[in-house]
Formats: sequence, C-alpha cells, structure tokens
Amino acid sequence: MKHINYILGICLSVTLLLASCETTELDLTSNPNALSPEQADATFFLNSIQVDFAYWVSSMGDRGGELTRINYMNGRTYNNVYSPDSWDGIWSSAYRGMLEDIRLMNLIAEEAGLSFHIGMGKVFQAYIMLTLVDYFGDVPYSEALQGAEGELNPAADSGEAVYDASIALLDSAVQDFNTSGPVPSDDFFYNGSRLKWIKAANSIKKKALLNKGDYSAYSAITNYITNSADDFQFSWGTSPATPDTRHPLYSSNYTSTGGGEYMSNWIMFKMLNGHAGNTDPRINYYFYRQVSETPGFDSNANEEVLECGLPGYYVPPQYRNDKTPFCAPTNSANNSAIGYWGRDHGNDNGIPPDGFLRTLRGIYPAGGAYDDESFTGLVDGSGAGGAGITPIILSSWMHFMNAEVAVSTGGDPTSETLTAIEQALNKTDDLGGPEISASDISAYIAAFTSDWNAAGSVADKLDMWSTEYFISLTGNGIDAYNSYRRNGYPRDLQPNIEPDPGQFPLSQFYPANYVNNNSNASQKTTKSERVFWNSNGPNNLK
Amino acid sequence: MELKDEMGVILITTKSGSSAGGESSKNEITINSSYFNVDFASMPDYQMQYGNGFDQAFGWFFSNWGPSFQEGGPAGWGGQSSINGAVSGTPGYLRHPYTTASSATGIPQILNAIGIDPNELYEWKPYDSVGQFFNTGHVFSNNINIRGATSDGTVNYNINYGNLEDVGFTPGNTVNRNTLSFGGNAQLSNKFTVGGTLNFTQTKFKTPPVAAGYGSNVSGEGASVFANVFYTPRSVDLMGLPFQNPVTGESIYYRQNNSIQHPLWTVNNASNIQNTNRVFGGTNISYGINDNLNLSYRYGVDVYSENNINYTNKGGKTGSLVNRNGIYETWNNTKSIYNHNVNISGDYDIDEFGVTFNLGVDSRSDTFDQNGTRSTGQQVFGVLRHFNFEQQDEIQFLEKRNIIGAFAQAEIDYNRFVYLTLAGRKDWVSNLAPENRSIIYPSASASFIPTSAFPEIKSDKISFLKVRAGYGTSANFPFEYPIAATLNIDTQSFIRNGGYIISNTSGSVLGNPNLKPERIDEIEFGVEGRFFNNRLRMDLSIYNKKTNDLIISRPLDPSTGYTSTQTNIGLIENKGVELDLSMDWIQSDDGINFSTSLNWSTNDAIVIDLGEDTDRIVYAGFGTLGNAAIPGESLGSIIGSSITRVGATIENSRWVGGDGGLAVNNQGSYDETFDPTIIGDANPDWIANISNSLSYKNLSLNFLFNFQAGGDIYSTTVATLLGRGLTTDTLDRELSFILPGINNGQPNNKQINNSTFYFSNVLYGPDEMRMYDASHWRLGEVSISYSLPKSLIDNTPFGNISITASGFNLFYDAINMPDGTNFDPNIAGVGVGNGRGFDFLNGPSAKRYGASVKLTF
Repeated sequence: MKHINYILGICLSVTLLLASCETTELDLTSNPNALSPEQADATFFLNSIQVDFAYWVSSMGDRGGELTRINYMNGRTYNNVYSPDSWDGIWSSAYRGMLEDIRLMNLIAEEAGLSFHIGMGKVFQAYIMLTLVDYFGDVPYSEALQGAEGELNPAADSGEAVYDASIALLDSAVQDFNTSGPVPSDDFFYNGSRLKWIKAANSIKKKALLNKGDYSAYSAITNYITNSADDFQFSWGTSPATPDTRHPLYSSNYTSTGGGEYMSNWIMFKMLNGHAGNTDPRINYYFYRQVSETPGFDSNANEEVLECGLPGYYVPPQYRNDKTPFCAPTNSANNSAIGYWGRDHGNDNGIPPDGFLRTLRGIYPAGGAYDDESFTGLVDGSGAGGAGITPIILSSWMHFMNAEVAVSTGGDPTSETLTAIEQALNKTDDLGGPEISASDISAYIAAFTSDWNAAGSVADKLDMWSTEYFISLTGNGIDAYNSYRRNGYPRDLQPNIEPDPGQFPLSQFYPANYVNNNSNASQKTTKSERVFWNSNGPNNLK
Repeated sequence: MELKDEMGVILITTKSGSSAGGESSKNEITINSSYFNVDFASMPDYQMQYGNGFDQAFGWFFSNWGPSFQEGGPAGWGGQSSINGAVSGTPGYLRHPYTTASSATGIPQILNAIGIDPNELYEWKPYDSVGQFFNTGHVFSNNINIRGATSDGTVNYNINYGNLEDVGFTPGNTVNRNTLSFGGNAQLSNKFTVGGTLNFTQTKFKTPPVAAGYGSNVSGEGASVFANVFYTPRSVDLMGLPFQNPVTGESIYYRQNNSIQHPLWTVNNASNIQNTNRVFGGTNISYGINDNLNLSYRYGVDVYSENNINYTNKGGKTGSLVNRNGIYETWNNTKSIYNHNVNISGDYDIDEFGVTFNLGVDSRSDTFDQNGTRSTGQQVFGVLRHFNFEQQDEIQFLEKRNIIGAFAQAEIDYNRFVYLTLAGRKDWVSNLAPENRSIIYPSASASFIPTSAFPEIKSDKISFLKVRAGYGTSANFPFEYPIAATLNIDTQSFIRNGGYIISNTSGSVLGNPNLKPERIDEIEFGVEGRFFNNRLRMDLSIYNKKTNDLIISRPLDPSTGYTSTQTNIGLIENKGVELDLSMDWIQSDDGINFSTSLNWSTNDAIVIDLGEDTDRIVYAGFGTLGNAAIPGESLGSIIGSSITRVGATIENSRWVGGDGGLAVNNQGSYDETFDPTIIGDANPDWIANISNSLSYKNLSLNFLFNFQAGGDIYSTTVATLLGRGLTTDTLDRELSFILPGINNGQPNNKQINNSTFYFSNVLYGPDEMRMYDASHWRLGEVSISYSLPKSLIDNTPFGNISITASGFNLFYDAINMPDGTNFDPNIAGVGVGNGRGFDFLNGPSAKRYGASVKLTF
C-alpha cells in the first residue's frame, strides 16, 4: 500500500512539473506590442520626421501669426494667452518626436553612408532649434536626448550657443548634400534635388543671421531661394482619416458644424482697403465669405450672432480712430464690410452659433474654397479638400528680408520690396482658383508704388513694407513674430481690445512638461524676458 | 479586469458545502429573490427663472445667463426682440430653433419630415429636461442555493444558481448576469481528501458612452452621454426637440450651426457592449501522511473571455472628423490566470505548546490577450458590420507575467492564550531584470489573551481581552514590460503619390532596467475586548504602514528624449487608527433588542522620500492638474493652477509669505498663476459608519449612516452647474459682483457681471476655483425585515421565510458644497488607477428601494 502511495505521489509531481513549465518562465521582459530599436529603418525615421515637421511648423507658425494679427488671437491679456501647458505638445514633438528620431536615424545612416538623409535631418534640426530659441530663449541642447544614459534633468544652453550650433549644422548639411549619398525614397519637399536643399539650408542660415544682425555675413550668401520654383514648403493631401493628411487649418475651418476658427479683422481690413483704392487681389484666395452681408454693417444688427454690431455698442478708446477696424474689417471711414466676418485681437467672448456665417480660410494656403461670391455655408470636403501648403521659406520672404537689410545698411528697399510683392501675388493662385491676371498684378503694384512714393518718412514706408510682408507670411507667422520684435513695424497693428493687456510677449512661458519635470528648469516670471538677439529691440510693441 | 494581488497567491474559494456536524444529513435549499427600483439620486435643483443666453440677452448658447421667464423687469423677455413677438409674431414665443438653422446643417430641408412648420413657434419657458431624461430603473435578482452532506460528514456538496437583471436609470444602460457554481469535498478512505469548485458566470453589459467633460462638450475624442445633459439650458426642451435627421441619420439640436450633439441621439446611436463569459475554480487534493502531517496540491484557474463592441453611427457632431464619420470597433479580451500550489502542513502538540506550520511553493501565470479590429468611415447609416466601413485598423495587445514564490510559516501557541506566528516568503517575477526580479519579505505577529491566561481578571465588567502586535510585509510587482526599450511603426502615417507612407518613431517610454518590486511593511497594534457580559465589544487597531519603492509612472521632460518612465518612489508612510465599537443596549429573548455599531477610521499617507533627483512627481491625472507625490505632503495632494497671492512666492508647491491676499486683475477677475501648487487633499480627515439594529420578536429594523469629514474634490459637475447659471444657487444675478481680493494694492472694487463671475471665474478660472470640500453624511441603508414565526411554517416544507423592505442611499448631503447642486461626492472620476478626488462630469449617483424574500427548505 505504501508503495502505491509513493508512486502516486511521484506521478503527481511529474505531472505538475510538465504542466507548469509555461507558467514558470521567468524571462518575459521584452515587449511584444512594439518593435525594438534594432529593427529601425532610416528611411522610415525620415518619413516620420518630415510629417512631424510640417505639423510642428504649422502650430508654431499659427501662434506667431496670432500674436502679429495675421491670425485671430483669443484673449485677453498677454499674460493669459498661451499657458505653459498649452506648449506641452510642441515641446514633446520637437524633442521626443523629431530630434530623438533624427539622432536615432543618424546612428543608422552614418554606418550606411546615407548622407542625403543626414543632410535633411540637419536642416530640420537647425530650423527647430532656431525656432525654439526664438520663442523661449535658452533651451536644452547639448545635454538633451540623453535619458537612456541617465541624464533626466538637462540644463538649458544659452540661446546664442544654440544659434551658433544651428548655423554650423546648416553648413555641415550643405556639405552632406554635396556628398554622394542615395536619395531617400520619399522626399516630401524637393523630391531628391540636392541643389534645392542647399538653397533651403542657406536661406535658413540667412534668416538666423538677420536675427543676429550680422548683415555682412547675410549678404555674403548668394545661393539661396530667389524664385518660387525653389520654395521650401510642405504640401498636404485630402484624405480625411486613417491618416488625416489635410492641411491642419483646413480641418479646423471646414467641419460639419461650420467654421472652428475666426479670421483676423486687421488683416482682412488691410487687404480690403489695399492701396489707392485697389483691393488686394489676393483677398478672394485668402478668405471665403459664407454670407454677403455682415449684420450691423451691411444689414440690420443681430444681437445673437454679432453683438458688437449693435448701434451704440461700446467701442474701446484705443479703437476710436480710422486706422483700426472694430468688430468687422471696417471702421467709421468706410462702414460696409460686404460679408467679411472676423474677430478683433484679444476678444475672448463666448461663441455664438455663427459657424456657417463667419468668414472661413480660403484656398491659399489652407486648401479651402476660392471666394467666388457663392455665399453659402461650407462643410468638410468643400473647396480643395485640404490640399494646401505650409510654407517654411518662400522666395518672396527672402526678398522682404533683403529689403530690411538694405534699409539697415543705409540702402533703398524699394526694388526688393516690389520683387517680393510680385512673387507673393504670383504664388497665391498656385493652389487653385482662377489665375490672377498679369494686369491685376501690375495694377496692384502700381497702386502700392504710388502710395510708397507718397509716403513721407522711412518709417511710413516700413509700415507698408511690413504689412505686405505679414500678408505674405500667412500660413507661417514665425518670421512675423521675429520681425515685429526686431523692428516694431507695422506701427498700426490693431491694438488688443483690452485697454490694459500687459506687455507684448517678447518670449513665451516655458512649457509645463519642461519646468514641472526637470529640476534644472525654472519658469520665467514674465514674458518680457528678451531673447538674446532681441536685447536692443523696440519697446513700444502692442 | 485585473485582479490586484498583494499577498502573492490568489485563493478563490467558494462554498464547498459543509457537514452540519453531528446532525442528520439535511439537504437544504435556500431561495433569495429581490426587486429594487433604482433612481437618479443627485438631481440638481434647477432654477426656474432664467433661460438661454448671455448677459441677460437671448441667444442659442451653451450657457444659461439669458433673459428671465417674466415679461417685465430689467431682465425680462419683454426687451428681447426674439421673444417679445417682434420676430416671431407672438409675444412669449420664439421662432422654433430648427426654422432658423443655417442651411448647411441640413435642418431647414427636413422640417416637413420631422413635423415642424416653417413658421413654428417655440415657447419661452423652463422645461424639465434632465428629470425626464433619466428613467426609474430596476434591479431584479434571484438566487437558489442547494447544499447538503452525508450523515457522516465525509462528503458534502453545494450548487448555486443566480440571475440578475439590472436596468439603470440612464437610458440604454443594462446589465444581465447569470451565475452557476458547483462545489464539493470528499474524504476518501485511503487518507486522501479531494475537493473542487467550478463557477461559471455570463454577464451582458450595455451602456451609452461615458467620457470626461469640462463643461463644454466632451473633452477629447468620442462622446459622453453625460457631458451635455446636466448643463442643458433651462429653456431648451431636451426631450421634445427631435434628435435625428430622418434622411441622413445625423444628430440635430438647437444651435444654428448644430454644434451640440443631442444627448438622445447619443443614446440611440452610440453604445459600448460587453459580453463576458468567465470560468473560475479549482481543485485540491491532499494526502494525510500521518496524524500530524499533510501534503496537498491545489490548482486554480480563472479564465474570462470578454467580447467588446463599441460603435457610433455617422452623423455625430462632436470630436474629430473620424468620430463624426462613424466608428465600429470589435475586440476580444481573454484573460487567463493559472495557479499551482504545493504545500506541506503540520500540526503538533508538545506539552502545553501547539505548533502548526506550512511550507510550500506556488506559481501564478497571468496572460492578457487582446485582438480586434477598428473600422472608421461608415458608408450605409446604421449598418454595424466591418464590411460597411471604409478603413480598418488593428486592435491588439498582449501581456504575460509569471510569478513564482516559496513560503514558510509557523504558528506556536502556549496554552491557547499566547500565540506567536512567524512567516517568510520569496517571490520571483518575470518582467523585471534578472538582478532585480526577486524579493524576500518576512512577517511576525504575537497575541496574548489575558483573560485566558489570568482567569481572575474575568468579571462582570471584563468578559474577554486580547492584545496583539504584528509586523507584516507584502510585495507588489509592475505590470506590462517596464524595462524594455521600444520603437514604433505606423504603416499608414501619411499618403503620397497615392500610396501609404510607413514611418518609425522612437518609443516615448524610457525602459528602466533598475526597476524593483514594491515592498510594504506594516506594524500593527490591536486590542480586542468584550465588556459587561459581552454587551460592549471593542476592537481597536493602530497601524503604521511603510511602502518602499512604490511603483509609479513618472512623467519626464521630453527634452530627455522620453515622456515617461516607470520608477520606484522612495518611501510613503501610512498611519492610521481604526476603532470598532458595538453596544447591545437592550437585550431580551422575545422582547425588544437594540444595538448599535460604530466603525471609525482615520488614515494619513505622507510621502517621506521620493528617492529621485526631483521634488515632485505627478502620478495621476494631467501634468498640471492631478495627484502629486511631494515629500512632506499627503499622497492624496491635488495640484493645479491657483489664484495669485499678493506678495507671496511659491516654494515646494505652496504659497509662502504675503498675507494671503488674492490678486484681482484690472478686468475684475482673479489673476491666475500657472505654476502648480497644492490646491487640495483628496484624503479625508476621518470616516465613520454607524449602524443601528432594533428588533422585536420577528420584526427587525436596521439603519446605517455614513460620515466623511474632510477630503477635497475637484468637481467639474458643480463648477458647470454654477458656471452656466443652472441651479438655484445662481438666482441672485441681476446686480454686479465684486470678487474678494486685492487689486493694485487696494481692496478690490472692480464690479463684474454675473457671467464674468460665474463663467469666467468659477467655471473657467484657476483650477483652485473648482476645488470643493467633500465632507458629507449619508443614510446608506434602511431596512425592515420580518421573519415568519415558526408556528406558521411548521407544517410547511419551509424551514424559514423572511421578507425585507430596504432602501439604499436615500438621503445624503455634502454639507460644504453649494446646496442647489445636490452633488454626491461618492464617485470616481479618473477610472481605475491611482487617481483620487476628481470628477469630470462623469456621472450621477443612484438610490435604490425595494423588497426581498428569503425562503429556506
């Protein structure tokens, strides 16, 4: 009997061992739900970087445009807009998204001799770092991206050091493009043209030098983007989902419940008035009106949807003159708004149900609808379906910058300004809509020239120069934010609707995920801290 | 559903029956049946004076700061052209909102089809929207249990069947459950004992979608049935306005651009459905080696298969385009847990000492396997099959973790009045690096019964006394794969030249090979006593629990290249006291019996050390609003943005210096400081429950009160009800407001209107404005039951019949929260996880009342 019991016991133990093998495996540490870093591909990294870059520039450009009245800025005070946590996504996309991907891509690309990939990565990296410094000031660079080595609290490098490193990076990128690495299978920007990439790198370098005030080095660079065939821009698609490839501004303007964004009254006002009675021909490409009459201006006021159009509505004192619009792109000098419907800078009112009444973005640059005066409410899918562009550097911008350097070195900005305006006008119909005729272009330029010649002082000319520059910067206001802080023009930007909005932000609050998680980071006390290249900038910005 | 495991082994036992030792074998059947009505308990007190609009002017807005329902007065509708007849033709009536919708919404084109005349009028008056939206639900449950044993007690069995049908008060919310279980034990003649249990549960669960809201539609993707219902403006007829376009199936509602999704459309066109089948149980076999030693093997299994469906028809008006074009997801979650346990136990008596011990090894294997498909882009409205959708995407996730442990335990008693227990355990886990994957944790406890050791202590006053002290440890292990470095691939990241672009991007979680298991050490002292002939019973417990190396997900600065990592926080200390008292005031055999029980507890969890190169880790919620671990502060601390304090600075997440003055800006609103500070503590000061039981012969009455003192909650529900002018707390609104504070060095005298006060400050001001004290009391339970007297049922097959009528959560009051909101703090707004103290318009609370019957034969 005992033997049987022992045998039973042994059988039991053996069965146990066999049955429990799967349950005793102790080395289950790798994650089956993701790839591991050894399985990476350099071209796949480059694809992610290019698409992330387009979204990133669009977001940064949006905010720069809001501050400079190219777009509408919600309000009210300058201290309240752009809270630290509203920058979290941008910070994360820049460092964890793009810079980390560039670093990992370079590890593979250097071994495999993919110098074209490396060159493109350097161009993106330089642009990203320059823009981060332009907005925030001192940011981490030399100690960044070392989380895997235990550096969890990278200290910030001075803005100047980051600028110099980025400029060096652009020179090194040019050399990479001159080496014979293979062309990546998907180059979203230039389809594999080395010459164009070199021009783009040089153009970004010129931009950085202009901020630093180094005019001689600026003028020494001659191989840059001079005409629109070389424009550095990202082209979006029309697919609405999985993936959504539409221009980001398109998806917020064209929805099933109407517009989700307001247009800036200041820019519509400027374009509507144009020069010498000539409305800017670009206005029908930039904006689409869903109604032909703005209540309170062209027809009876409607308190529900446009309260400020009521007769006798309180106008803040800083708006009571003819240089600035109020409530609609018009003022007491010319009272009709012919259906243009936007918002004033800093207006933070609640949203009435005006989604199908307010003015939407047009076909340039967001790939929306051309304003053919059909005056209907538009939903998603209308117009060009989102096939717009996000401009990173356009040829017209380079000519505007050349004009600025000319003025700063004692020369005449006229010819560069006129070239810039002509190129900007020609570009506007590239995405669709009827072609702007050559006669319209020359009529506008003639009108501009007559106003320009009639302008009394250089300051008045610079007001005109900067207004045209800002209009052409629609779609990416990063350079507008930089230019306004450098120069202080145009002086007649629409004031904040709040009479006491605080100082115009000369830099932004650091993102919350930077200051809250990094023991070497501390938040700024105010947004009046200047970026290093702006230490002698004008003081009277509004 | 994850089963949390702190003691190393999950032991699932169900009734195996029992021998009614000594009595003749009686097979007993028990039937329990109950029916309860379930009602919405936290209905706010909606005001009946003012309707839709802003600044007392009418508009089809989200808010309720519009004209009053009276014609006269400064806020009267007589001054509103939309309402006084100038536009509609009839005073007191508006043009029906659907007749003034923009044509791009498609609503004007279908007026005929929904029975609305182009000149239809709409009455300006308060409507009972929220009250009519919720129904009275019910819970109907039946249970039958059969058990029995042989007369010698060697074999016993138990069978149980239960059925539950729960229809909630939210439309579209139901739960149906069936359970069946078997169990039994048999002592075989050859020193073997075998036993086993097997349980089978089938649950069908359906609900409309619920997600977080901030008082303005739903936040993020998806829809939420609660997000818009509670702040429906008083003058909007939620139940009366048609909700669906009969031609396209889209949602339609009162805004001119149709930008709010009709809650009834959500109920009828979106749902989460979960059908779960679960089997769990085990078998054990033990062999008596001799009179004192026993060898046993136990096998446990728990497998559930959960089939999920989540869908929204196309035509919604919330979220991104993907959501509005229709979504259909189906996936299966299969979770399996297998347990093996081998154990030798012994029981010896040596002189006056008794010794029992256990030695063994066990293993536990957890596997979670998720597979499914997500389809977007519905083509034919209402058809919910994958072939009807444009794009497919994968849903797939796998997680497997094994834990092996070895343990030993011994208990020694001296004459049954001194007890000493010693134990130790070592565990190995599979998802940590080899040098960090094992942990040893010992424990020891002793207890002493003075009344048994020194019988002379026993008296009329002291019937029983026991003191105990113990030191216990347990361990916790992380889930998923915290040490792995990852890379992501997206095969549909963009489209170029008509084809998909594939992209790689680095993983955002930093793998941490230094991660260690958590270890919890607890010291406890307790006193148990019974006094006055056992009428007064007391159990007091004082404990100090230290958690070492608590595992949390730590957010990182993205400039490191990563956004988070799993890490061990140094040391958290939890101190508390728990007291249980019960008193039998009146005792008699067939007269009145009255007794009361009190349970009182308090607990403080303080972060002692973060052990990291940081001084704050936000472990739940969002980076700037959530629960944070800060050295020296409570673990339940809530951080967020606050009102700027005049003359003060922020140190260690608190305002220091200054005189506490609140800074008011030149617009008359509070100035906001974004740098997070501690704005509240979710941990209550103390919690108490008092239950009373009164009985007279066969009738008994029980009632239970719950109390909570302290504890803060961030409530979006309360802030929205106030901020949008919906409850009776906001009736006084026609004059101006001045916020208490300091403006430019002087006491604030800037006047602001009602919407700036309530909307811009209470609802959308600094996070600090949305913190409320959650102290509350509650009548948790009341019940009356009657047991039929033996004389009545002696001649029937029934052994016992009793009937009970009861009510749950019938009354409650959150004493420091605005009266009109009737908010019930007893909800969990951040779901399963470590977060506490948040409500994001997630849901109402329930009360139940009904009756149950219990029969035994």
